[in-house]
Amino acid sequence: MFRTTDVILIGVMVAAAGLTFKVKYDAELKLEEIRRLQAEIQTEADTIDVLRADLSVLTQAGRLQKLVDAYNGELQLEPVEPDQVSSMNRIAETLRAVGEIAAARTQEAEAVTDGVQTGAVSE
Amino acid sequence: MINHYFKWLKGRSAPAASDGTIVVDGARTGSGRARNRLVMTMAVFLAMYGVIAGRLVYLGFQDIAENGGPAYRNTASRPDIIDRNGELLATDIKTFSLFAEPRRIVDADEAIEKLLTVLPDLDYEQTYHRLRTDAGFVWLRRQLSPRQQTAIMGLGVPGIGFRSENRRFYPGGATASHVLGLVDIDNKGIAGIEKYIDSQGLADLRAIGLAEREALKPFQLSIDIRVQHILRDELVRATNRFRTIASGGVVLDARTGEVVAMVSLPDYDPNNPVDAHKIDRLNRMSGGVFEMGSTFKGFTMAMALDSGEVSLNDSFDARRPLTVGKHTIRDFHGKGRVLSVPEIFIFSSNIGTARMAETVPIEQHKAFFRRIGLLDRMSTELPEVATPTGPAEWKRINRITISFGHGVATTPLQTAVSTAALVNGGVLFDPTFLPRSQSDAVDHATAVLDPKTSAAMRYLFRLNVEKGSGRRAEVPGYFVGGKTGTAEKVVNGRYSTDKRFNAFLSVFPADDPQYVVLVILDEPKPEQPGMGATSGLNAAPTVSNIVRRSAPLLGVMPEFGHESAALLVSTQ
Repeated sequence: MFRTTDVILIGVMVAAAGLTFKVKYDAELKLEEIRRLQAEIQTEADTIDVLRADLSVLTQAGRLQKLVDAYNGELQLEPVEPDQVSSMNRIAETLRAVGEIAAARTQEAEAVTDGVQTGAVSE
Repeated sequence: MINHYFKWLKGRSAPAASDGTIVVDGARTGSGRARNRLVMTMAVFLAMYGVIAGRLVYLGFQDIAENGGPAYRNTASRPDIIDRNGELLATDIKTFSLFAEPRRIVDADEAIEKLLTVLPDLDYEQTYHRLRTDAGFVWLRRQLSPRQQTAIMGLGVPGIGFRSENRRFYPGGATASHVLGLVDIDNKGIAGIEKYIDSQGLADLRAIGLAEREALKPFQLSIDIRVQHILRDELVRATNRFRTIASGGVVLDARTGEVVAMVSLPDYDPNNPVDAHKIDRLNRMSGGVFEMGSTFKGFTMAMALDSGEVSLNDSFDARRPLTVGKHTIRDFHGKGRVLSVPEIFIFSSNIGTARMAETVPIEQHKAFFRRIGLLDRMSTELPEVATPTGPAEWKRINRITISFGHGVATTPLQTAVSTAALVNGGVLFDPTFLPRSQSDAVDHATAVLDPKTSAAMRYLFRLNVEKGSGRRAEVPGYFVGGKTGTAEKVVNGRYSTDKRFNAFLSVFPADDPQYVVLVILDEPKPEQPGMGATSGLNAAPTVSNIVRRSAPLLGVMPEFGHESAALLVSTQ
């Protein structure tokens, strides 16, 4: 019947076939995993694109302006006036200007002072 | 069978084997019949396997797409467009279109009921009829978001599928429509910057299949979307307030030639450009030409001052109308006296401007306007650029009307660019919609004016806002300078007295101009009956609002307690 070498060779052949099958099967599994991950990455990338677009829509100046107008009762936001803008290296100058504005406002306030006493006005 | 074959092989290869037990009949008899039979059997099997292999190869070459819906339409990828601060202006989003294959739908009612949980506005009856047809496929809904797609996939309805396609999306809608332009259904740029991007090699890249979305860098513009919004917002207000038929505006960096914002109204929504091709939606700022009216007096004045024939201390007689042939030049707000050069500017005297222009030869006048870029087609990235029109030959009457802005029609953007040259020390830049640093700007610059003339122009522009027709453009702290322009429109070949084209050309801060703001209003009506509709009453306050709101965003620091005397001294 079969010689020992035949049996060994057949064994090797079967083992090799089994190994090849397993490697191939594993490779297919991995490929499937890669495809799945790639699809997931693509979905996430697409979602990021959409979310960025959404964010951009939500932060559009026009939209914010409408919201500010609609909720101005609570928010009480006003546009910045030029005299409210300054930089660090001009702080002294600005303080002086603000002082002048404040002084002017005080004068105005004094001109219309009435008899009502408030906590903020000293005797 | 295989066993037999094996034995036969053995028999052939080892006929003299000592082990006689496995010798088959054929070998023993030596007859050819059995061998023939075997050969025939082999041939039959070979033929069978050959047919199977051939069939496999054939199937391997077949397209698999046959079983599912319409052909895949591969829409091109485009780079994102971002503004100078990185804000998104245009992007590609992937959308999914839902289709069904009615033949594979098992239960139409169930399918629709499930779909309704995700798409509540799906028309039940219509969809039902579509699903009951015998068609190979039907579209159910185009352009679904990825979220909706995932939800529908999760329903597990058999017989439906998706096709994905890229769709261009503009988060700002109409805000920057004329700058960005448009794409067609295949995502190819057909107008504005979108078209420019294609002309810059994107189309070629796409042709060789390299325009993958991941590989495309965002395309940055010089536009600041915040300023763009402010400009559009104020123009929309002006349109409603003065019931204009059209309006437009541009904010230009005077030191680099970058366009920071540009709006032309009426505009369109690039996400749904159904009326983008209507004739009144054209981009007036770069693609329309207008007689700019009195704003041209600034250029005439710069020409006269630059020639050296006229100085700020000269004066011209504006007592009587100027008669040229059968034409008579009058003043709109005539003062009926001799006017100094600054007075001609701030009272916007046609007679004075004409007389001043006549101190310079006509050829020199024309050459100056050409040098400062008012007469030729400007070069910039936008494809929509109109060529200025004017008389082929300048006669005396032509140059006189041109000196105060009638007779030559030019684009508003071009006017703003030339104004930048008037005030920035005399350097003319090609306008650009792409970011340009000040060091790069030098390469695109041509010196067209004596810096001294430029200083005088700064003084005049500022004086006009302090004391002249531009008072309503003032913004405390920002030192606005400007010139009004109220031109009569040509209707049926004649200048109409009640249809006007108003412009306000301004620079700020006038002591060191950083930005040029130009606003045009086409056919503004008086705000209330009895009021005027001149540029100083409508275009100037619009500019004032734009400057007040946008200057802090543009990083221009307000200054107070500044005297314009400093400007005057610098010109002498």
